[in-house]
This record gives sequence, C-alpha cells and structure tokens, in this order.
Amino acid sequence: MKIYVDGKEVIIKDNERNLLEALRNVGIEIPNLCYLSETSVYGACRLCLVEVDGKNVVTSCNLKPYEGMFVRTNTPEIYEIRKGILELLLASHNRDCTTCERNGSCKLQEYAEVFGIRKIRFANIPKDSKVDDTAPIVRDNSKCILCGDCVRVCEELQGVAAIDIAGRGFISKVVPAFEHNLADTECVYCGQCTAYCPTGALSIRNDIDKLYKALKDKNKVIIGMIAPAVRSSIQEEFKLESDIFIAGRLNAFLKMIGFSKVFEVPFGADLVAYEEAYEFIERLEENKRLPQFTSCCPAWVKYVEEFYPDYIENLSTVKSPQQALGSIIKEIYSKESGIAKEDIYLVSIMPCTAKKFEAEREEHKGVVDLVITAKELAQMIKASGIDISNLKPEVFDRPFNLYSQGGLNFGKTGGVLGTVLTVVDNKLKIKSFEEAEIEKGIRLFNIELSNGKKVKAMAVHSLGKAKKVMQNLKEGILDVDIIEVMACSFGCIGGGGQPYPNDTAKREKRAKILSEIASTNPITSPNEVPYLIELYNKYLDHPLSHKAHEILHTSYSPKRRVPEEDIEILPLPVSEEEKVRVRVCLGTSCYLKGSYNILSELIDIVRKEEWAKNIEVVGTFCTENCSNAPNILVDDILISRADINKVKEMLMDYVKRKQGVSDVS
Amino acid sequence: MLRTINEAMEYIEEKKNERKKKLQDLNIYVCIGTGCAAKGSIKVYEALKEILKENNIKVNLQALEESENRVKRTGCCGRCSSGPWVIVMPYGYFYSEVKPEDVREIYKETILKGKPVEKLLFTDPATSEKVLNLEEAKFFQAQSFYIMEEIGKCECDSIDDYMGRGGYLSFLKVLQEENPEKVIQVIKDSGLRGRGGAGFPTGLKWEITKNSKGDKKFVVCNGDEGDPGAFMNRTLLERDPHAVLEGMLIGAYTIGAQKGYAYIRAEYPVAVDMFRKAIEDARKLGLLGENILGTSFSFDIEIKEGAGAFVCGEETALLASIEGKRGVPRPRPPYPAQAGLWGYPTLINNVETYANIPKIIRDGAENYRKRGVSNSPGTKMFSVTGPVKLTGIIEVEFGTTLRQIIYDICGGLHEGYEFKAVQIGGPSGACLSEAFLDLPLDYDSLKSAGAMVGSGGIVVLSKRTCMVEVARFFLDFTKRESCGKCIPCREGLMQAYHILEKFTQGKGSWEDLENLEFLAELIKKASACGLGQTAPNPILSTLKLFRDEYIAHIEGICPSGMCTAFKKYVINPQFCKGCGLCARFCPQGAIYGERGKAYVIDQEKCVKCGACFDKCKFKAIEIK
Repeated sequence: MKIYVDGKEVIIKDNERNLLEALRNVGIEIPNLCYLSETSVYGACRLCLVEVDGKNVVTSCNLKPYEGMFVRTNTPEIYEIRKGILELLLASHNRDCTTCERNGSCKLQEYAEVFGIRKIRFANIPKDSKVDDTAPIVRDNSKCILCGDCVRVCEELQGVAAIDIAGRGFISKVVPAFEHNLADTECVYCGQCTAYCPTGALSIRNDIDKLYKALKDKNKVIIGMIAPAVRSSIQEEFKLESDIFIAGRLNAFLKMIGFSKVFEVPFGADLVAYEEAYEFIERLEENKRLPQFTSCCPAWVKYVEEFYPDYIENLSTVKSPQQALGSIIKEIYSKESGIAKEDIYLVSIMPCTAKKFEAEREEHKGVVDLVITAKELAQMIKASGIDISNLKPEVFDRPFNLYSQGGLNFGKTGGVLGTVLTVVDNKLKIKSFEEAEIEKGIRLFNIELSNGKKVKAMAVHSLGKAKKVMQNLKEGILDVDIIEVMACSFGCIGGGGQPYPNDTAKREKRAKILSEIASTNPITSPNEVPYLIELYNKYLDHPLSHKAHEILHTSYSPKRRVPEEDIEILPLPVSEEEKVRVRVCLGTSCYLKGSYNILSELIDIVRKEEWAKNIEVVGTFCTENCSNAPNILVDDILISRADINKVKEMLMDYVKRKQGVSDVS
Repeated sequence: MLRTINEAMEYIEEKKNERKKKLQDLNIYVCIGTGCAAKGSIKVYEALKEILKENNIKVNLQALEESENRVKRTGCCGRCSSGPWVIVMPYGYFYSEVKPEDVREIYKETILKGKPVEKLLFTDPATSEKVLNLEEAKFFQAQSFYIMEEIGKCECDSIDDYMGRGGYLSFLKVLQEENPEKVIQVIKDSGLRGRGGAGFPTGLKWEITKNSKGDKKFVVCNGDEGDPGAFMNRTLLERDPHAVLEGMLIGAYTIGAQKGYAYIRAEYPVAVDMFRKAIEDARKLGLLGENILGTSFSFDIEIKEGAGAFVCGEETALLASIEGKRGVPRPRPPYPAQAGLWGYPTLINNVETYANIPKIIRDGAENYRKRGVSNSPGTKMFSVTGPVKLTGIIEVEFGTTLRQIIYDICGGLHEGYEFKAVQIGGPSGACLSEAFLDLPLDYDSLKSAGAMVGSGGIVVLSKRTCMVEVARFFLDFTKRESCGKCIPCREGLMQAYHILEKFTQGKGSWEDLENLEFLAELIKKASACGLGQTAPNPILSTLKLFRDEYIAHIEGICPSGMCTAFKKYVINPQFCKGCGLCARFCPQGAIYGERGKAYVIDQEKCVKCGACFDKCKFKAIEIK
C-alpha cells in the first residue's frame, strides 16, 4: 500500500494493525508513550497524533491506514501539542532523575530531552509518593505516567492481572487490588511490567550494595554463577551485540572485583534436565501426575501455586537450575573444596526478577545468598570503569564449567523440554519426532518412542499462553504428557532482569545469539557432561535416589489469595465445639448482591431466636465463588446464591443435626 | 398475558376507553417526581389516600368504591420549585406547594363540593394571578409538551395507563408491518438527532447497527445522566418509563437485537424502581420475553445500575461498565454500532431519544417535523436552575430562544437579580452572554456559538456570579470526574483548575492567563473522548465572552464581588465604639486596638471569614 508521509512516498504492508505500527515497521517511529506492539491499543498518551489529509488531527495508534492517505507527522500544531503533553506529565512527575533506577533508559527523560523541554509552565502538583518495595519489583507511583503498559502486559500477555488502575482523574494510579503491597498479591514477579514500563515507576529492586557489602567481608568466599540467558543480552549495554565470548569476559570481570570462583548455571540446567527426565519416565510408567510441568521458572511455579493449586502435584519436584546448582555448591562442593558452607556467599547472576523471589522462598533459604540481574551486573561494570570489550575471556571454574548445548538452551523457550527429551532419548530412544506450532507461543511435539509408546510434549512461553493451556487442560480438551512453561515470552532471554529495551525485536535477536553460542559446544547431551556423571557416581547414586531427592528436589504449596482475616461481628462466649460459625462473604460481588442484608438479618435472628443462640457470625472476604454470589459458609458448608430464607432454613436444620450429634455423644 | 398482536390491540383499545372514563371521573394525581417527593409529596399522597379511606362515603359524583385507589401517582410536572403538586380530575384544578395538612381542605372543598381551594392554586409569576388549570398558566402555554404530553395526568407506574394513552401501539405497528427498513426510513425522515448531546442522526445510527454483522446484537439505553443540575433523563424515566421501554423495543426489533440493557445511575433510585416495574409489567403482559406476541421476535431488558462515574455517560465507557470492566473510554473506531458490548454490534441511545421513537412512529415523520426547526426537529427537555422564579424541567421545541425560556417559562429572575449569562449543556457546556438571549436553541446554532445542547442543563447566572468562579466550579467537577486515562484530560484539567483557583484567590497573573488559554486548547484538541474534548468549554467560552473579568481578577478586583479573596474587611472609625468584641472573635488575631478607641484590621492576617462583620453591633465593619 502506498501512502504519503510528510510529503514522501512510503510503501507499507497491507492489513497493518494501525498507522503507527505500519510506520514503525518501515522505520518511522511516531512519538508515543503508551503503544506496545505486543498488547491491545490503549490510546491514552495522545503523543502519536498525526494530521491526516490536511484536516483531521488524530491518534495514529487506532487509525487504519488506507491507500493514498496523506500523513503529516510533525506539524507545528502537533509539535506544540506533544510538547504541552510532555510538560503536563513532567509537571506532576517525580523529577529525581539522578537517583532513578531508569536514569538514562527512561523514555520520558528521552522525550524531555529531544523536545527541548527546559522549563515547565505548569505548577508542580505532586502525586502519591508511597514506594512499595516489599517485593523484588519496586513500585513508585510518583514516577508513573499511567500509560497502562504494565497493566496490559500483566493481564493480556501474562494472564496475571496483579495490578490495575484505580481511582479517577488526577489521583488515579496503578495499584494491586485494595492497594495491597505487591508482596501480598498474586504477582508472580516475572518482571514483565518492569520490562515494558517506560519510566522508573516499576523497577527491579537493586541489590548491588548487598554484593559490595559481602565483598568487603574478608571471611566470605564469594562464588558466582551465571545463567545462560545473560550472555545473550548483556552485550546490548556495551554495544557488543555480536560478541559470543561475553560470558568469559563477565567471568574475568567478576574475578577482578573479588569473586573467588565463577560457575556455569548451564551445568545446573543439565543436572535438572537429567533428574527431571527420569522423573518424567517414572510418571509415564506409573501414569500419574501427568502432564508433568517443568519447574525451572519460578514465576511459573508461583503462577501454578496462585491460580491452579489443583495442579501443584503436576509440577516437577526438581529444583530450578539456580537452586539445584546452589544446593550442590553448598552441600557437595563445599566439602570437596574444603570451604565451610557458612563461609560461602553464593551470588547468582540472572536475567530474571522472579529468581530474587525464588532465592528468598522459605524452601530455598540459605542456598543462594544474592541474586543480581543482568542489568545490575551491567551497572557494576560501567561503574568500575573497566572496558569489558578489552577483557580477555576467562574459562569458568571447575568442576561446573562444562555443560551440554541443552544446558545453555535453557535460556530460551523449548530449551528445558529439548534437554529433557535428549535424556529421554538416551534412555528410551526416540523413534520419531514431529513439531507443530499450535499458535504463537505454544508448540506441540508428537513423539514416538522405540517401545511404540506415544508421547505428547508442549512448550509454552508467556503466562498468558500458559493460562490458555491450563484452561484447556482443566476442561479436559488437552491431552499432553509434559509441558514446559516459561513465564516470559521467548523464555529467560526476555526476562524482567534483562537490559532495556526488552521488546520482541530484542528477544528475537537474543535467541539467535544464544543458539549461536550453543552451537559451538561439542557436548550435545547431559549424559556426556563429565562432572555430572561423576556427581551421580560419587554422591547421588542414581536419578531420583534418596540422596538426589534430598539435594535436588523441593515442594510447593498453594498460596492464599486474600490475606485478610475474618472480621468478628458477633463473637460468642461459647466453647468452640458448641459454636456454629456462619461466615458471610463481604467481598465486592457478594456485597453487591446483598450479602450485607443477609448479615444484618442473621444478626437479628441470632439476637432474637432461641435456637440460634450458638451461632457466631463472622464477616469474611472472597470465597472465590463470585459468580454465585452471595456466598455464606456454615462451618464448612458453602451456601451459594444465598438469601436469608435459604440460609435460615439450612441453619435450623444444621443446628438441629449438630445438637442431635452432641446429645448422643 | 397477551398472545397475539390482535389481542394486544384489543387490550389497548379497552385501556384507552377506561382511561377516557377515568379522566372524566374523580381522580387525584399527586406528583411523586424526585423534586416533589423531596418536598414531601409522598406524605401528601398518603394523607390523601388516608382521608379517602376514612371517608368512604357518597360524594356528589358517585359512590367511591375503593376510594383510596382514586389517588394516583404521577410523574414530574416540570415546575419542581413549586411542588408538591396535586391535580384533581375531572376539574383539572392544579394545586402547588401542597402540604399534608392541606389535604383536609382539598377533601372538603374539592372532593366533596367540586370547588377549588383558592389558597393552593398556583400563582402565575408572569401575571401574579391565581391559575385554575394547568393549561392556563403562562409557563405551560409557552412550552410544547410532546415527550411529556398529558403532563400531570399520567400514572407513572401503570402500564395500563400508558396503554390508555395509546402506548405500545407504535411497537405493535412495527411488529405487524415486519419492515425494519421502513422504521429506519421514518426515523431518518423525521430528522431525529441523538438527545445525549452530540446530536448524531439517530436513523443513521440505527441503519449502521442494523447493517453491522454479528451473531448477537444489543440495545442499550444510556441513562447515566451525570451532569450537576441536569435531570431530564431521570424525570423521563420516572414519569414515563414505558415510553423509553417501547423505544428500546422498536430499536431491538429494527436492528435485530435479542438483549437490552438500561444503564441507569444508582443515584436515581426512583427511576430504577420505576423502570424495573415497567420491565416486569411489560413481561407479565408478554411484551418482553421469548416470542413476543406469538412472533419470532424475542427480546428482554436488564437494568444495570451505574456506580456514579460521570465518564460512564460516554458510550464506550458505559459499555465497558456493563461488561463489568473499569468505566474508561476506549479508542473509537470501531464504534459501538460496529463492535460494542462484548464486541457485538450495539445500538446505544439516550433515554430521551428512545422516548421520541414511539411518537415518531405514531405521528409519522412529516408530522414530527412540524415541531422544531429543520436541522433539529422535535422538542427537547431542558432542566433550568438558577435565580429564576420557576425552576425545574421544561420541554420546548427546538428553535425556542433563551429569552423565551428564561422570561416566559421561568418567569424571569428573582427580585434583585440581574441577568448576566446562561451556562448551557452541563459541566462541559459553555457560558453565553446577554447577546445570545435571542439565539434559537438547536444543535447547530448552539455549536456555532461555541456551546452545545449537551445533556440539556441550563443554569441561569446573575450579575452576582463571578464567571471565573463559574469556570472554576465546573472544572472542579470535570477534573474529578475525568477517568484519568489520557494525559491532556487527566493532567491538563488539574492544571487548568489550579490556574483558575489562583485567579479566584487573587493570585492570577498574565502568564497564567496565557497558560490557561494554551491548556484549554490543548485539552480540547488532544483528549481521547468527549469528556476531555468538551471539558475546557467553560474556560473557552468565559475567556471569549467575559475576558474582562479575568483581567479584572489579575488587577485585583472581582467585579461580581463573589470571590472572597478580593473582599476587604475594614473598620469604619466613625462607627467603631472600641468595644473589642470583634477582636475577641477574630480567629486569626488580625484585629487590634485599644479599648474605647477605633480598632484596626491587619489585612495581612485577615482570612476574610466575616466573623467580625457578624459580631459587630454597631455596623462599624464594612466590606470593600
């Protein structure tokens, strides 16, 4: 399709989503602060206004291009509007740029610079400045421009919807439900919100100071380990994008600042795949706990715990590479090397925000002492003044220096599954293997083993797609045996801890770099990794052995979504056995459908009627059955779509039965 | 339950005769519109029922069996300022400001003897004479009751009464003719334009929705009237819910919808109750539900109560709200007619637009066009507030002038008030000065004057009102009601409000004036939805017509004397006895002096609370 942009002929693809996207694809970026190619169109920032056919000034993000249209992207009128909008944003913005996590990578800062904004005509009216740093993801509303990118990413791409916009007008803000802290919500800490946030409103907790504090401690032996995906992205920070030897250079840098040893997480990945493959074979044989879910992505693990607790037992119990390798280092390497476990300070360098959370989980405490992201490591390198491109790559420390191609491929989608299948192939021999893309982000593998058994495997990336898969699984329309899920699109290379920008184009590039690095590795299967075999021979006996379980496996538990405690409304001085506890849900849905009236009438009944004297009335929040509101719980019996007559009838009956039982006893 | 169209026709004929008889018989109509109800009309209604029940005796007309049922509830009669209203048929006596204690007299004089109660009769402000019948009052004659026809004599909560007025015949006609294209043509020919404010041609909207492809279609009634001072939709829903319902039915049949939603704000409990009852009654008679009157047409309506966000009056935000999402506008296109509720084609019209539909079908396009002017045919309801003698709801033909409304219908301004401006079209409307008094009110004339019909709120402003304060007042509303999505509206309105506040506090500067103008233009041009695009209208129109007031504020004067910041309290030493009372009551300690001598107010410390002014027994304190 031919259109005219600022007088020049431009050929764009037919059927583009909108003009902004069409021009972006031919290299013309119209200023915008709320447009993401990956999500739905929001249309809030109004910066992408263009003049069409010499008359209308409209937003290009929801304008369908048409043949022969005349577009002007930069008239004086549009310039004035854009500048005005930026000034308006900046007027109420927290302008502490120098101390902002996004200093230098902030889109608003960049626009303020290029639009030459040096004075703001409008008053500084500050916004809510409460900072929520309870989780690895830090929220600072005073830096939020309400572009809604995070909200759409969280809901549309990740299927989590932990945050949304609340309030109206000037005081509206992005918050978790009820303005809880992020740590108390269903947030899985995938950090995709931080990857797309154009400013510093959502950022990753910076832990560099903790690392330097540990480095200062002479009694500590600092051991580092680097995740696969870091070596595909950190180059971007140093304009070294084709450098495939970056991991060795990072190793050299870490040694220079005082690390004693630096290990390869891909070794841990091999170990995980090895163990997990045997776990899978066992489950296949027993036909239990299938499909098996991979468990190396901590955001996915939390997602299952939060949203699909019924499926917790499907998760592989094998720890993630970070925790598996960490445990081996702390439990076995410490003994081999003669460094006391307590003296080791283990630092893992990750592309991921959720890894910070994982290391802090109750189940994993004391294994990995600190997680820093690729971005934080880049900051440290820049602050040191060392020119990373001039550092000679150094070989990683033994014994965790050799690994298979698959171990490295853990960094991108399909890597875990592929490596597990390599191990399965080794044991059971795969006869045929077919790959099909169900849709973007979901791939299905039809496998036939040499024993004739057919196995279906699935690789999914981004939690939004995982949600779809889980829904199908729940409805019983999906039949697979093993599912790999990576919370972030493209896998760890798109993790929340990766450098900015962290969009689809960058992720595709990182995938290529990682494949290139992997292809130089002569080891093709975990079975060929020397130290891995030695480890089993010397310490772990065999996969799934008692010892292997102790060191390499973990457990999961469902998370309660609403942390509030019940509210005592009519407490009774009656012994617990005699009490009949009636809990009335006062959550929004139930409240709107009349639960409060039921509560009032219940109180009335309890006060007036003799039979009801042992009924304790309690207010509760969210029985998670909102579609059948109002919900009332009589002890543990749920009454849905309740009305006072129904409740009263059931209660009378229940009280009678309960008394009957206690009379007999 | 009516089973066929013919059965329904017969039923309606029966109801027509019943109603005709009823109006010739003794029946008492009490207005229970929110205005009258607030002034105690429900008590009057109860008292009338009580007195008829107690005295179940023969009156001059006939034996009153079930006499208490002779007291009817009727919807808003328009002049809310003189409520509660009681109309006694068949005499047509029309009593205003009735109190429960007046009931006995009404009983004794009117019910028993058929005579009017002189003191309760309405005094026409135009002539200062008592009026016996509604039709004789000047305010009545100056209006054109079409949507509100049979004012004062229709029972708002009775489907039988609506049918008695020929209600649902239009729907039956449409159902019988089975020709949706014809319906659209009639509406197109009628020239009906959307009453929600923007004035989009209704027929065209229906046509687009009809032609849009979708497995399902929806009909939505926008009753989220959020403007402060506007209550046309509420009134209409309360007084004639079936007219709106019938309009929705015709719309659903025409475009092929199966489900309708009436979005009514929860702050309108009476309207919600009335409409709910209307739906139930229509369902009972078989006018809603599966296979209506034996045809293949099935349709039902659900009420969705809005939680009180002004922006939900914007159609895409309203649809989001029905879907259970945050009420925030989304980019258009696609328009709701193409992809509305849950992505299906959706016909969304204002309450008043729907109420016009049955009338157009009944009277035909040509007759409909006899009212109003060519580009804006028909009538429009307005709500009038401000210092005029009669406030409330009016209905006039398009093309009526502001002068006619203010002076003929509303009886002019109160004594001591002088006309300055009208604010028309709700919070995002504009202020028009005296020069526009003879402007005919229609969509295009108002637009060319920089104003809009909007929701139809008219606020009359006197010379005592400061125009800068008016702009500040409305900006205070729109800035709070902005959904906060797009930057120009969210941030811009706040900043504009901030500047206006500076002006009213006497801190405005020339630079502020320039910035205010820039902001108003920016918000208008760049905002995402109608709320933002029109929100600067109060600023733009006052800047255009009352710029001198802004300049006066910069120079330290509020010409209307309304802005307290400009007031200066001084003690006249001639009258001051030096008692010290003012100093004792001054919360700021801004008054000092010696006993027996004249006191002085420290202007730096004074916060202009006026406590000294109230306390001084010698009138020594003056406001400058």
